[in-house]
Amino acid sequence: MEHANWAIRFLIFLLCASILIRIWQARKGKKLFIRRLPGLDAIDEAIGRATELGKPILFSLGLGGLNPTTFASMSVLRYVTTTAAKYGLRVIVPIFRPEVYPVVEDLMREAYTVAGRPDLFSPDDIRFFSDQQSTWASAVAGTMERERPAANFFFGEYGFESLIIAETGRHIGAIQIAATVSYYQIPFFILACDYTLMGEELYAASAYLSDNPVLRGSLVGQDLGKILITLLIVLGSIGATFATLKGIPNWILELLKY
Amino acid sequence: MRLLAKLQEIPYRVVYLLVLVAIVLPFVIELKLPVFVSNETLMAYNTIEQLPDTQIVIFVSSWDAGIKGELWPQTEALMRHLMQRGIKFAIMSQIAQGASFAEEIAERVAKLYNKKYGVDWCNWGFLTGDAAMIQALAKNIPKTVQKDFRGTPLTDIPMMQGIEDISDVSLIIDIDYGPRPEWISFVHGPYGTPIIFGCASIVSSTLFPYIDSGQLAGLLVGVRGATEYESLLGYRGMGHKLIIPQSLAHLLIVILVLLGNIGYLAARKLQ
Amino acid sequence: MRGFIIKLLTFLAGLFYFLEFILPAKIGRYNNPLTPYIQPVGEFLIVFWGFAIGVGALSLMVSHYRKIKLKRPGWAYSIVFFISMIAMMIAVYLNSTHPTPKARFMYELLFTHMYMPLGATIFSLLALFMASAAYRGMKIRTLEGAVMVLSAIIVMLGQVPIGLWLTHRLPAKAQLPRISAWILNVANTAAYRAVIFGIAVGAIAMAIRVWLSLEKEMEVK
Repeated sequence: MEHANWAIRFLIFLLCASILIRIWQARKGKKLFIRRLPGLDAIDEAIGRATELGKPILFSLGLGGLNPTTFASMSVLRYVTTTAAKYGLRVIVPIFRPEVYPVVEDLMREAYTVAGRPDLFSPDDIRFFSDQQSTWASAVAGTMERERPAANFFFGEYGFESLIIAETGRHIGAIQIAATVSYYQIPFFILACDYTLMGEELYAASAYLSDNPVLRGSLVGQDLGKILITLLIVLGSIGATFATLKGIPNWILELLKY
Repeated sequence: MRLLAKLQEIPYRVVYLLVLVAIVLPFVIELKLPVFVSNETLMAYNTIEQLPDTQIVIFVSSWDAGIKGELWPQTEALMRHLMQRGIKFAIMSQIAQGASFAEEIAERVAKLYNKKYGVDWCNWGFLTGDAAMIQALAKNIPKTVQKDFRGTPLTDIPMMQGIEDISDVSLIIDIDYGPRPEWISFVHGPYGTPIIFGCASIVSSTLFPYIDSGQLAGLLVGVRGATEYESLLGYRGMGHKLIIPQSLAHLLIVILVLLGNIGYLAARKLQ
Repeated sequence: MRGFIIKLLTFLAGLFYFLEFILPAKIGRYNNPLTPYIQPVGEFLIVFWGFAIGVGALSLMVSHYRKIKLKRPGWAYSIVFFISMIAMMIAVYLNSTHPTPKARFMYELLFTHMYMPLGATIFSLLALFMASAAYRGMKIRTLEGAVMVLSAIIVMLGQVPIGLWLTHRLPAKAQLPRISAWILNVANTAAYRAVIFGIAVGAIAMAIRVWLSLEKEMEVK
């Protein structure tokens, strides 16, 4: 559709309102509950393992450009880099889309500085390989074989290269945590990684790790929006079923058209 | 029981060797298997069968060498059908290598049906940009494309005379590892132009909802889709050649999974 | 001040697309005033992305140059990188602007006979990795695991002619391709829709945070 109709406007309003209301409530100090996510709890465990072994960490942001998924992944990258910097660890970031490179460079420089270790930051650890999947996958696999990271993080959008890099990581014995919105790559990550976060759990990661009230509020708000939309789907299904019956007034049928 | 428990410890190099044998064997020994035509492939076939020859088809071929095995047979089968029916089509790609692969296939198929470049088919080449390019293309094709793959202005290509916007296009075919839903959002949605996707088999399950909702007029799934389409067209092409090694590889993986589970259960009994 | 300007520009850019979509095509007697600008803005983004490729390529060259200069481990491969990059650039340039037989040969050699088979080789690794990952990972430890393994076997065999060959004597509805199609079209599609629904709502929430500059990654220090 080129432009929204009234149903879409209503849904957008519903979703945005639920998110903004929860953000406002969180800013006012209301405590909002988020359930435990084992994959995110394992991040500290993975960083601890890398510290024990004295090996670097590899954090991949996937194939996405500057979109919401990549921003969500960058939130986790910030957390991992800040924590890893406190233990004197390197974080290697393979880049697929070149427009992501300057944002990541800035983020990591700041993360190392906040952790009190600006000396650890090296632009050479942020590596743009290629924007072709096969080339990027072989470069990441080669990086893993040479650098031997102790922990691999795969956060973002992925294509067929997901199994190549995850299996290579498994062969080198790294602990692996994946979070992807690419539905068809989830089974490969589940097979090859120790922890896998599916779909929207990636967006929850930044809220879960940061304890920022705005992020927590938006996370709870999106859940509320989902519940409201699900209710509408159920009502719509009941309505569509009734619409097939005879004797229903016209104005109800018109309403059900949306 | 100990021997059974060892079944879950087959070295991965042996697994790789078995996969290699399974894939190479059909090229040495000829095997044939019956083909079952799926609903989504039949929909694609029927859509092209019913196309008028007064409009053009946009044939988006956005795959590279990595996925050539699955998508080359699909591209060839669809091009054969279009040329067989005398329907003009314009190739384009949203990645660098895609247009040259499609050009190679089109040239080969054109010889079979005596079709000429510029009259029966042409190649717009690589058009960059995702949603922005698709929206621009729908509104004004000559302004968005301007020149073909060989540098010829669109105004000088006979089949492009009078082609202004999406209303002059009867069908869009997108062959890609994971075809872009932007074609559905920005072309089928507002203008109603039918869309056929050809995809890698792993991605297919994400596209079935579009078949159910009627937003896609057909879907070719991996080598299987190409094989089914070839059987509908009545020829045995690359799809038929490649489906046998794929079948043996699938069978091998199933056997390995079963052996692994037998080994796992035996090991649990020993503990 | 700089941060405020960036937040303002971000908000205005998002507002443009939001309003263009929310407002109808015709508002009373007037057309949507923002729609004519969609195409030029889109073209601007295409040009912008072109510059971004340059940034990435430049960073790659600087990184490899530093490796050669400091003789870090593997510096010889950095020389190979430069040779390959320059050779490919020359081949593509000559083939496009001066397509002589020698230029064509160089292009075919580098692109068709080296780069493309290398890409296909990497993709073909999936066959091997899939076999080893499935063999190692698909174990029946729980009821859900059993359902997963059974579904995987049915779908894998149903997607190829062997499935029909094994079950062609059974009634049509009990044949593997049909059951496989049901698993993919019904069961799997329901799961896919549920996951995608969550992803879409999550993406909208994330987009609102980025648009309103509530996201930390958008902050300018």
